[in-house]
This record gives sequence, C-alpha cells and structure tokens, in this order.
Amino acid sequence: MADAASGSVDRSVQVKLVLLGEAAVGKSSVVLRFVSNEFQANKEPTIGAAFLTQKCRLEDRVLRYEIWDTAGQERFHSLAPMYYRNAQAAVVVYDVTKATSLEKAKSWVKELQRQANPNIVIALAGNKVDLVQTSAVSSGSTPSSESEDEADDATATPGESPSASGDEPESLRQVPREEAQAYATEAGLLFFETSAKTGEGVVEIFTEIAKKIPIEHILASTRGGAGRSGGAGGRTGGAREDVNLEEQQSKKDGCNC
Amino acid sequence: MDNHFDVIVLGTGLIESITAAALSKAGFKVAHIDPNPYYGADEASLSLDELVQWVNRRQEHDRSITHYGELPPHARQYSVSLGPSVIPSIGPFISSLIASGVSRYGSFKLLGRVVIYDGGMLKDVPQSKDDIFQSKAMSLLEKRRVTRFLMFAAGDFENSKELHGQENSPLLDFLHRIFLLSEATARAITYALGYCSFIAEKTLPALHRIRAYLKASGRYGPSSFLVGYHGGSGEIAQGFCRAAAVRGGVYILGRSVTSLSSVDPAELENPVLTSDLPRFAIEVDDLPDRLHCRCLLSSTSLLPGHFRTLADVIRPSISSYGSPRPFAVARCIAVVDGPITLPWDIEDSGTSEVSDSLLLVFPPGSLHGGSATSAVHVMTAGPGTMSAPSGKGILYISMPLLTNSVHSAEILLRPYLTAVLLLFPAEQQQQKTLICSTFYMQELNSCTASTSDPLVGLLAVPSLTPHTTQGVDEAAIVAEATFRKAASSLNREIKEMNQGCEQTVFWPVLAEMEEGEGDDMHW
Repeated sequence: MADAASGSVDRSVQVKLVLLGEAAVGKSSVVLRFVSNEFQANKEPTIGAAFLTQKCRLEDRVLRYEIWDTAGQERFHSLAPMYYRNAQAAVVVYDVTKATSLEKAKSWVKELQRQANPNIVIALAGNKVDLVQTSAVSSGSTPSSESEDEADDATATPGESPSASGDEPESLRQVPREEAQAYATEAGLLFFETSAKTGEGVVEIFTEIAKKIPIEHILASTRGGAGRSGGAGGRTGGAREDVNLEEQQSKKDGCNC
Repeated sequence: MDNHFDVIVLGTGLIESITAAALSKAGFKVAHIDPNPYYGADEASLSLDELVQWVNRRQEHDRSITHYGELPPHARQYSVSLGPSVIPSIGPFISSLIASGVSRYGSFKLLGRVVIYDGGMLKDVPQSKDDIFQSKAMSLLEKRRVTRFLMFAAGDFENSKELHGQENSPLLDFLHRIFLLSEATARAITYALGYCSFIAEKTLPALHRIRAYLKASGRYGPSSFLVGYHGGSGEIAQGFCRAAAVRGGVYILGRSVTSLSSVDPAELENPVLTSDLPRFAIEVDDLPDRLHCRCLLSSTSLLPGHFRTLADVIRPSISSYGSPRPFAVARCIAVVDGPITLPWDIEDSGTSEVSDSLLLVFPPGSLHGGSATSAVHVMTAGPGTMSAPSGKGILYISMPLLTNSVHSAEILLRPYLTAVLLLFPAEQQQQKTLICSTFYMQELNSCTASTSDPLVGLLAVPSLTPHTTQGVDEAAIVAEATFRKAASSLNREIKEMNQGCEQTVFWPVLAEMEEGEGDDMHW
C-alpha cells in the first residue's frame, strides 16, 4: 500500500501528520520504517528533514502524508504549538518498556484534544515491542539497538534523567498491552503495538489512519486554497483564501505534484 | 551531546529566532534558550489563558497594566499576538520566510482592507490605481494629482527635482506644496500609505516606505500586505525555531539562565584545540551541566547589566526608510463578541469573502480625546486567520510614543477602543460587547551606545521596533546583520569552513531533502 513508485496522482489529498511522544521512544524510527522500510541502529537524535512525504493508496483514494518529526524539540518540553496546530493526524508514540513514556503520551493526547484541529485522527503506538517478545527476552542481556539509542539520547539531554531500564529481561515490559488498549479505547484513539526494528504494526498505523481521515472535509476546507499550505481542515471549515508565498517565485513549486 | 555550542541564543523573539535558524542552517551548533514557557518573547502568540498568566506575571512589576473581563469559553482557541503586525508582500522579511522554507510551516492570507478614520468618518484607502479611479470621494482633479504623486513615488525619486532640498521636510508639507494635494488626501497618504507614526516625519524615509508598499501590491493580490495565521509573528518565530531545530539546534524553553560568565581559558580543565575554546559559560535552571559557547547572542533585555555594557549591540543601518524609533508603545488587546466587519464605503470590488483582518488608521488629531501627535493603528483578527473561535474577534490598538507618558496605556487608548466599538456595527445596531480587554505599556530598550571595546563573541540584539508595517522587515534586516557578526566571530577561528568565501550566505539554497519532496527521501 505504501506506493513509492507511483508517479503522478493528481487527486491525492494532503494530510499533515505529526509525531509526538517522549524523547527516544522511537518516533523517527517508526517513520523511517514506514517511509523507507529501513531501520537504523544507533540512530542519531533527529536531524535533517523538515518533513517527509509518503503516498498511501487506499481503494479509490490516495493520501499524501506529510509527516512532521519533532526535530528534538520535545526534549526540554519545548515543542511549539505551531508544530501540531493544523495536523489532521497524529501518531503518539510511547515505549512499552518505559511506563513514564505512556504518561507523557497521555498528556500529548490531552493537549491535542484541547488545542488541535477537532477532527484530528490520533493513533497511539506502543513501540519497541520487539524488546518484550519471547525471542528478545531470551537474548535480553545484550542491549538492543533501540535501547542504545536511548542511552545515546540520555547523554544528549542533560537534565533528563535516563530511564532506569530494567536489567532483567522479564521485567522489560512496563506497559501491559491491555492497559494501553483500554486507555486508547476510552480516549477514542487507534491503538497499535509496534516495532520499528522488525516492522511489526508500523504500516498498519498509517493504513488505519488513512481509513479514518475525513477526506471530504479536508477537500472542502482546502478548496480554493493553496495545496501546499500545511494547515487544512481548520475549525471554521469554510473556504480559505490562503496565499502560497512561493507561487510568484517559481511556478513549479505551486503545482504540488 | 556535549555541552559545547558554537552559539547560544537567549530569547526567542522574531530577530533571535530568524538568526538562530540562519546560524543553524549555516552549520553552526546552536542552543536556543528562553526563560518564558512560550516562543516569541515580545512578539509571542498566546492563547487567552496564557495571556492572563502573562498579565499576572507582568503585574508584579508593572502596576499600570490593567485587565478587565472574565476568561471566555474556548480560551485556548484564541491566538493573541503581543506584537501584531502585517507582512509587506515584498521585502527582506518575506524573502527570509521563503528562502528559509519557514513559509511552508505557516499559513498566510492577504490583509483585507486598510481603512482610515478622518474627519469623523471611515474611508477605505485605495489599494490600487483602479480603486482610485473608482473612488467617489475624490474629484477628478484630485485623482489626477494623486496619480501623479503615485507615479513619482513608485519611480526613482531620489534624484528628482520635486524632492531636491525637501528630503527632510515633513511629508505632509511636501504633499501639499509640491503635489498640491488636499489635506484629507495628504493625511491618507502620510498615515495610511506611508504609515508614518508621528506628525512631521521626514519625507525621504516615508517615500522609501511608500515605494516599497506600492511595489508589494499585486505580488499576491491587491493588498500590499499579508497577515499570518494564529497570531502572526509569534507563530512565525516558532517556525524559524523549528527550522533551527531541524538542523540540529537544541531548544530549552521555560528555564532561566541562573549564571552567565565569560570563560578564562586558563581555568579550563581540559583545554582543547585553541580554535575551539569557549568564551562563555552559562548555567540554566534545572540543568546539572554548564553550557559553553564561543558566541553568545542575546536579546538586550535578557542580558545581565554588566554584560550589557560589554556587548556589541547590533545596529544596522535601517534609517533609510525607518520611522523614528519610539520610546514606548501603549497597547490594548480587546476580545469582542460577534464577527468583525465594517460596512463598505466604496463599491464592493467583488471580493467574495469578507475578511476579518483589517488595519484601521487613526491619524494624529483625528479623534476627540485621542493623541494629537501619534498615529494609532487598530488591527483586527478573527476566525479568518484562526486567531479566534467562530463568531469572535480580536482588536489590537497601538499608539507609539516618542517620550515617556505620564498617562497609563488605558487612559491613552480607552477613547479609541470606545470609538472602534461604535464603528464596528453589531447585529441589531447594538454596540459590540467586549469580552475582555488588556491595556499595557510596552517599553523598548533604547539602543544605547555600546562599548568601543566589546567582548569578542558577545552580541546584543535590540528589541524589535514595533511598527505595524515595517517591524517584521526590520527584524529580518537586524537578524541578517546579527547572523553576519556571529558568523564572522566564529569563522575567525575556523578559517577552513568558508575558505575563499568572503561572506557566508544568509540563507543557503534549500536542499531538496529539506523540502521533503519525493518519496525516496533519506530520513
């Protein structure tokens, strides 16, 4: 379904999707798996891309995800409201081996429900599930790549105490699936357990979000507006007369193909 | 991460944020810190509940600030700007927005209308030549004279015979004498085309502004100006900060700097490469480690006193089209019930959507009980820019002051608020109801002369001139000057970084990767 090869699809609907969650839960890795089907061990904290795009074909419609990463701004609780303000979808990630990361995820969900577009589709993703599966448990003594990532990040972020990662493999899971599932149901979220490392559950998040996105609403609210402007689907729902600042600069950029 | 940075930037106002983005994109390692829990400093966009907290904090040291009204429902759906401004469609600021890629983070629309209140009535200010010809308010002769002036102002007036010897005369006077314009027309041109803040502003700088705005008209539509969504400048500052973060900038909000010191190289525990020696060390609340940097760039207001006198204060030459820098600005932020609309006095030009973003200008002496020396600007915002929930509106009233005022902001601005509420008709002819209002005085750090012998690498950024039309362009100009000073103080040591290049480019060409186009991108 992640259709990377398809060239020009004119009827694609652009969806701004934001990633949220505590530092080092694997937000970027989840997206990297989705967009490039890759996994990098020891991934540096996110640097480089303003956003990634990925088309997603679903029956008769094509979504063009514009995926925004936090660029590390969540680390000192410094994520700007502008980041998630106009998002039509959000993936809130926590780490199944770190209970506090679910609490952080919950506070993000709350913030989105207060502040973001009211039609936003939110998915909760419990990542690093490979660490708590039987095969991983048996080899638990060797730190997995993702927990190294976490260690990396801890050194990168003074002031945030590194998570007390359980040394014993059996106790690695700190968030029972049932607990997270119950919370997600109650809060009206899609829910998945994922592993960016193995790919488990990753594509499903984006497919299920695509099914749930109110495309007609987005089309209605962007009609007449510049397609490139990230923020469709606002509160008013009326036609917006947005100006695309680049329109006069280069015709090519405006076509948004 | 280690705690060594090339640059530490203090304050997330527009100037500092643009500079941080440029430095980060140029490859410098940047940490950006703000004691406030929000981005944008004096230009922040705040929700209404954040605004109330802001007022409460401010009241601790500023007794003159006044706030009325209860917090309405959906307080978080408002984006209130502490530095309301419009963006000229051509100019250094919009160039920076596009060249940095930050324009893609935000949404913009054309400013709906510019309206002037003079002679006891509201008049639309023509946005184009066609508007002038269609105007019923002017005689044919007056239209010809206005057209002649506009042709003059749009051209190369610098060496014209009309201007010769008149550069420093007041613009109003110049318009009367040289172009024989009527009082009303001359005032409209002075205050609602040249956006002079004070009476007797000089002709030449005002002409520079008029030419710039005439050129800007037509780039994106009839208006010369754009407005940003969600409160404008504060949102855009967040965009520049994100651009810096995407390039590796580290962001620390809501924590104050507890100590700031210059580093004596002899005291360093592990002196590394001589080229890499940090010059400053700072301690931040709740962070166990000290942060070090080679260049410290701070908004003047966040620098401790003794450092302020040692800093190199950025003062670029913007006088060519600058309005005089005010001492302070009296401000009012008012939230009203009911959408903001004004009746048209000229024929409907076919605009389908009635914009709730407009700029209303009160020239000096236009309002009984108002200022005789300052022009007052009223900007409006509402759901059209997602700045307020449906059916609500925000009014920003600002009065620049050249000297300290004995009166409070409320005393100065209350007559304008009352007038505006009467001018904006509510349904059933009733006066619009006020939900809440805040009056305060924004004092500006004066650009005191900096020391002749500043500490190397210590740069102080003055507070932004809060001019409605010219402020953001000045921000971009000051940011570029700051960027160049910072880059040269850093590159003095790292020669290899820019070998052969005389100057670092302000905004490097946007890489495809950054734009995120294409599905085969590398993460």
